[in-house]
Amino acid sequence: MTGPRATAPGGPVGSVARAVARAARAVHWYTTSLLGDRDYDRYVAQLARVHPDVDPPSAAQYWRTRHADADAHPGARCC
Amino acid sequence: MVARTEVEHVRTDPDLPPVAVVERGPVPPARRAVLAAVAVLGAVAWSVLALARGEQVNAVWFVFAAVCTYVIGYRFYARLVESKIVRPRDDRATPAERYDNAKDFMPTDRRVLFGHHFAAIAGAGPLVGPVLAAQMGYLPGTVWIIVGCVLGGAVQDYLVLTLSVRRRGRSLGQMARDELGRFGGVAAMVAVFVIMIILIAVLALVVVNALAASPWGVFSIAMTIPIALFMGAYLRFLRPGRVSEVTIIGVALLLLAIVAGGWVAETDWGQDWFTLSPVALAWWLAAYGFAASVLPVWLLLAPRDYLSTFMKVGTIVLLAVGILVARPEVQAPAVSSFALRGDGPVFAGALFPFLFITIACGALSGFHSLIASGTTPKLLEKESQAKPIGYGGMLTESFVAVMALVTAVVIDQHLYFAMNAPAGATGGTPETAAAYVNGLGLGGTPITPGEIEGAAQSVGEESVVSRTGGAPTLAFGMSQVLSSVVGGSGLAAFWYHFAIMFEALFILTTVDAGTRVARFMLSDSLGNVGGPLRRFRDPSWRVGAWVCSVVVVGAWGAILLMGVTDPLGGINTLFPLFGIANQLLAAIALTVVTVVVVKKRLYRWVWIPAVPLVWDLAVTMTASYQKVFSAEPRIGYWAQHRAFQDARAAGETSFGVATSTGEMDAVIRNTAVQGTLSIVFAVLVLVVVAVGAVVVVRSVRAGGLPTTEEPDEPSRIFAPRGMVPTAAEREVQELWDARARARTGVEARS
Repeated sequence: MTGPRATAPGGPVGSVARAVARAARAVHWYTTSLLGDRDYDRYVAQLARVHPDVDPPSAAQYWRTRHADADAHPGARCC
Repeated sequence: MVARTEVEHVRTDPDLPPVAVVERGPVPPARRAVLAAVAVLGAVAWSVLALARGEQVNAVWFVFAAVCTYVIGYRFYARLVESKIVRPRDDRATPAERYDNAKDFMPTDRRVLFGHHFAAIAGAGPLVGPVLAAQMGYLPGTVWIIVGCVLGGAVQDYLVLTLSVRRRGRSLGQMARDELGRFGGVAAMVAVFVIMIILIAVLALVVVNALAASPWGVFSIAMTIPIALFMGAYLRFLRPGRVSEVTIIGVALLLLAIVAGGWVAETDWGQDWFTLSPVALAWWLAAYGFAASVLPVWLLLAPRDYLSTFMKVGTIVLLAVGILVARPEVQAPAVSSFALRGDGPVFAGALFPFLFITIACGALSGFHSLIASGTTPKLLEKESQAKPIGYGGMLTESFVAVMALVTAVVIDQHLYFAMNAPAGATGGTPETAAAYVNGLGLGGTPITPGEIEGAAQSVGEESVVSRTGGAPTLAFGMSQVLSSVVGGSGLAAFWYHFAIMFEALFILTTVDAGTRVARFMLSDSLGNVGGPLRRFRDPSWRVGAWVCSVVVVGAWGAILLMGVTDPLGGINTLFPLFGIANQLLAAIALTVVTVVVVKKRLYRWVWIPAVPLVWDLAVTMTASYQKVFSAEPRIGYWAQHRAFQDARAAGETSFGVATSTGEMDAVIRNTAVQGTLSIVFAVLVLVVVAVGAVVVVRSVRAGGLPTTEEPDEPSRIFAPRGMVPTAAEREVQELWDARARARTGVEARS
């Protein structure tokens, strides 16, 4: 098969470095998604889709509202 | 002529790309070869574990047996459950898509949701139970943890998640009311509440036993509170939303706290302040539970949650890698004499039913059904993802349990029993403990008091004798494994306290989250009573919240104090209650699932939930029966109660391990409470099962009954079915990505 894959720049070291960089990006994506860093941006995107006329709250406001909701609706953690 | 895989693109709207990909056809030969190799490796591993006689087994075989069984179980059994009972339709919108509000309903990437779900279900249960179960040798526990999970626990989690997804993310209690009727629903709710109380109390007891007389441990755990408060304030006022950043800072501070604990424990003032008795620790824990449940979430609970999520994933990976690198040799026998005779010191009773009761969360956990019907069903992108998340999540927890068992069985046998036998048996000092365990008939070299003391010193503790509850044993085993990989014996004390810290983190998260949930259940129920109590329904009414918190903390705190002051050893008497309660909740969840399966007339496949249900009922009812009616005081709560009562009435001032009338009175009180709780649990579950049986009969007679599933709505998003997308799914994903790019291009231009 010919095409872009046949001639990768940097040789084997370059491709190892690229693989490590890809892995690091994946870990970063996973950690930030799991812990919640991306939640505010997702909320703003969702708001723009469904209620484009509403001004999105600031990050601080978003997190205050979210924690207030969590206060009112607790989730369990298992044993 | 080679049969090709047929790929079907499922569309709900001709203007949209396909919302699902269905692939049918024979398994390609390469994959078949891999599965066959996995099956062979698994069979070899099980043979090594089961047939080793006299030679020492390497711990790595446990990992192979577990992983290979999980792969085969997931590929074949989970797929059977999926195609015959679940029958997911990805052209149907899940509640996450349908009610998407970017808060509690939000389609979440399946890999991230797996992490959330696993962090929610993983706790101290699979760590503590298997350690105690090691009393019976390594084989019975391993078989139940792996097989019980594949056939029971993972099936329960998967089916409860599926049920909840089709019912707009309803909780188990609500589903019980919908499918079983009002009476069954109320019994289920009461059972959930009572079971939650005992769960919190016993886990708190595990922490108390791990931290008693350990200034290092108390200092490190105490430091997690200011660390969490700092993280909470940082996120609230300094950098809102930078969760990963603050979590990394928090973890660094945590590691510093563990190291600092070593320094503090060497100083006089450190030992003065942080050496706490079990009773003092119990009061501190109750105070913590109350504070955590009334303080705002952002201040304490949320930061602790981030810390424990991070630590959970990290430490479990660390332990798995450690076992694979260190490859320790197993010291315990396959089946010990205690398994055959049922007279072991760690927990009383025969292998059936008490092995299964002790392991509980590692194989089948009723509490998971609350999580599987909690936030996860509201975040699920596609119905077919319930299999990797629900079934796969429980398999991962079972793997954690296997590793916990491994750390317990690689410790020298004599040392294991010196650590886990109650103080009444060991005598409390290294000399008496050595004499006791050497007289147990364990075989091998007898242990010397010097070796027991040396073990304690090597991990920076005053004593390891009768440090019951499983946590110190797990920490000791982990420190043995990890220090042979990194750092040598110099780091053994750090690894020990690292393991204690991470277990305490898990447990304290369960304690504070559980207290909150129980408080809400209580205030909701009080509010439903109506009249003047109606105000309890308002979550912002502070007085109501405080009153309910006091009641909940008072309930579990009382049981905790009872366990801590019990002359018979709190873990020995209370852990069976914890296990029975957890398994009874599983019986309730499986009853709801079985009733739904019967209502949908899937009679040919009702055995899938019914077999674990019947087994679970057999185990828990036998255990409850023995705990209530057994004439042997070691097993039966009421027999113990009567024995001590008779001794008291006869004017004796000491009896058995009780050395004073005060201690005798404590045993009399405690056994009455424990006996009553056993009866209450058993009766509640029998009620739910009986109601379920009535509904089943009614449904069969009527030729099926309607269930409370939501009406279908077509889906308009795409997501892969499993963790790794197939080639066909990647193609469809590319169509959606191209469409999204074109649309943002159009919007930017207009």
